[in-house]
Amino acid sequence: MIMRAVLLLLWLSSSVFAQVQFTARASRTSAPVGEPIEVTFSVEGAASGVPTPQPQALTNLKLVGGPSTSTQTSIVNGRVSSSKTFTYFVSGIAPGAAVVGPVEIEVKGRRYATAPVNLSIVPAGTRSKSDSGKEDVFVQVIPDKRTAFVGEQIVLTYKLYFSANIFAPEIKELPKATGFWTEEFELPDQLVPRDEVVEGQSYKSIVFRKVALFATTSGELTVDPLTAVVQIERQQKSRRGRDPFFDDPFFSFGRRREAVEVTTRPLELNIKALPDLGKPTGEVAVGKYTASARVDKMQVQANDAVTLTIQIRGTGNIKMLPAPAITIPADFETFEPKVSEQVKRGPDRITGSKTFEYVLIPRASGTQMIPPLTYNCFNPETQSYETAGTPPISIEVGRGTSRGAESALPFEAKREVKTVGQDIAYAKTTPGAFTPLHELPHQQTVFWVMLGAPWLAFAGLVVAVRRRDEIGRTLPARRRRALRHARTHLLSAEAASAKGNFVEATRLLTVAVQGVLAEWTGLSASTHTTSDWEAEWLVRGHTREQWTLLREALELSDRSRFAGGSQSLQDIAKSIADVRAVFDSLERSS
Amino acid sequence: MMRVVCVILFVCGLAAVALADSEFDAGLAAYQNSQWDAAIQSWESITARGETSGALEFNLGNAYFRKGDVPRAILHYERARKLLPRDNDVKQNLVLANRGIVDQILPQVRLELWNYFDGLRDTLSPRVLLWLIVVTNLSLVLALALYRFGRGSYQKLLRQTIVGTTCALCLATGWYVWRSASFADDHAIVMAEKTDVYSSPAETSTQLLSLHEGTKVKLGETLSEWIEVELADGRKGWMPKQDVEKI
Repeated sequence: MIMRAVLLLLWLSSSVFAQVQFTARASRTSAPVGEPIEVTFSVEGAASGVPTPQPQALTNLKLVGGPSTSTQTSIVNGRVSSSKTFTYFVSGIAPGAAVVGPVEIEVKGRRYATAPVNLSIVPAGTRSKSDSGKEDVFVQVIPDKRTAFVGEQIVLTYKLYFSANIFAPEIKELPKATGFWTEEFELPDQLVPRDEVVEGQSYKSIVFRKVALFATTSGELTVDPLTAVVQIERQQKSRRGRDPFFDDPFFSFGRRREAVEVTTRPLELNIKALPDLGKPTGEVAVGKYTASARVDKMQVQANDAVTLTIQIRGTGNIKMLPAPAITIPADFETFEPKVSEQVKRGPDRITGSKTFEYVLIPRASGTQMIPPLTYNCFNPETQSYETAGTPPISIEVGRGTSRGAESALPFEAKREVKTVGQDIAYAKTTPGAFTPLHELPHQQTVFWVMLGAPWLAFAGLVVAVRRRDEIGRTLPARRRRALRHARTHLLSAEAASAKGNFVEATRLLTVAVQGVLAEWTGLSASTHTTSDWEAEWLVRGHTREQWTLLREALELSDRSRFAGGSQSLQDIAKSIADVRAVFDSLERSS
Repeated sequence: MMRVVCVILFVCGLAAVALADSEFDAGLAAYQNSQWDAAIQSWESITARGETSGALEFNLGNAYFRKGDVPRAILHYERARKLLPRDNDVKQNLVLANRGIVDQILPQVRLELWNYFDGLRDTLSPRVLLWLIVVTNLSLVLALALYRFGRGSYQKLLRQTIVGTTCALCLATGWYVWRSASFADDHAIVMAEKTDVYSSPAETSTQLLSLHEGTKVKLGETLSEWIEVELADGRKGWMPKQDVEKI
């Protein structure tokens, strides 16, 4: 009891007279952007009544965690000392200088302030350095190429370099790879370190991540940094001038384990579009592939199923391989293919195969031909378009048995004729009628000519007929017409005479003569006698010889009519000739 | 002298038709050998002289389509449709070519009756209608002439024929006028890859929309280098005149 009282007295006396120190210290002086830095505020010489310091004056830093508090009390040589620490975590905002400004606290009525803590913020991905400045752990991303085509395989290898003891790294944040399809490689469970020299420094390295990227678009694409947390074992730093002897690794108690975040640099990749030259139509796979096709049965009965298996094998983005554009004959009923993939991830490339299984049901008998398959792909190695093809497959389809139990006839069921392709109609082989460009038909002169010509012709005809009628009504015209008709009758009379029909011949002769006499004398045969005609004929100045010939012709006719046609052919012929001579003289005189 | 001039004109006409036919055949031969550029060159040489035909425009559309120039293919298919309104090949190829353009414009809702009338109107081409007018006109004149100068018991039949042909002539003329109005309807195809349509004929005005190559527009007023266009859905605006080509 006495002993306890003595100790309490000693403690009280030391606490009263102990000098208070308030300091700030950072776990490291340099850190990449975004990587946490541990900042510890220590109050030596006081443990109670100490307020929590508030680090508000942060330059190019942001507070990301804390505070965590710890209190220590120790008695050395009877002297009691106490301290209290407040730990915060800050992270750099941008590369450059950063400062944790002075922080003030008030302990037992007195104010204490820390000195500013200067830090250096480096770009993300910069190698982490230990407090001594030595790069003891860092991570790098190593692409196998920086320029690639859309869809081409780019392998990224994430390597961790270290020169101190570390424990297995943990990936804190997977990088965003916008614009890429990503395939992770399979890595061995045991990561075996390799010795490497980087910039003159000897390191051990392990590959802790390997990934294949397939760009889905062209342009300058960026793979974001990867952040990993590594537990690293570092030498405990002596704060009070401890003997360096104890820094030897032999003394493990002189080491501390520290979690260090390491970050890669952002990776810029140049992605080119596939070349247009020689680019086939339709979808194109990027990589190096071969194609194979087979059917499970080469001979099958109609309505029995056949499985067509098409396999695309090679190096590239297997999962994104497009389905082959295969033309199944219309006589097959087809179903959606069953698609399966086998992807081999490593060790260097993503390889594998994609299989398309089509179930085909032949609906018609005969030899059915599955045409050759052409699978278009772009080979980045040769930078050219290549075609993986398969030969045609011939399947013998038998008639099979009728599905309908009641149907005894070997007819196949009717089915719709399917359209298996579509294209524009072929060019026309005949030019058709050419017309002026941008001109309607009525704007052409020929139209108006064709429209107006009939009317003009009609009008002309009307005028011509009217004129003819007017002319026909005059005496000379009438006489010419009478002569014309009379001559026609004379010809008919000659014809009748030649056939021996003298009665008809003399009748026609009479008609001819009477017509002329009626026109030349103005007296019709029905109302006037021969003597009237004679008188008028002579009065109108015609010759008696003419009248005599005409009268003889009329008398010949009368004799023929009443005497029963006893005239001879010579008489009629002579009379016709005489009358024609008279007509000639009349025509000349008119 | 007049007779000599007529003979010369007739011979020149025959020579022009023979030349166009030979160029058409040369283009067809090139087309059969998949030489699209050579076929286009042969056929365009005919249109360069101001002549065309429905088959020629159709074939030009095909050659441009094969070459990959979809807007120009649509332009020539549209011209072919004006000349061959009942040709199913033209309709089919126009539908296929229109699948290759960017702009999709839903036309304004119309009564089905108007579509029926449009179909009826386009049943006959202006050329056929014009021949119909010429034939009925000739028939009318012949009937009139026979009625005027003929004699006998056909007068009543001729009177009925005159009335009938007069009605037919009026009907054919009216149809032609109706058809011509639609034929001369000012439509055009956008030939620029992309063009902007503004609210007024100035680039400083409000941009209303953007059109892409191959789109069919109806032309309106013209002002300097600008032309007013109307889309199938009724939207209107002004665009640079050089970006469209009249059908």
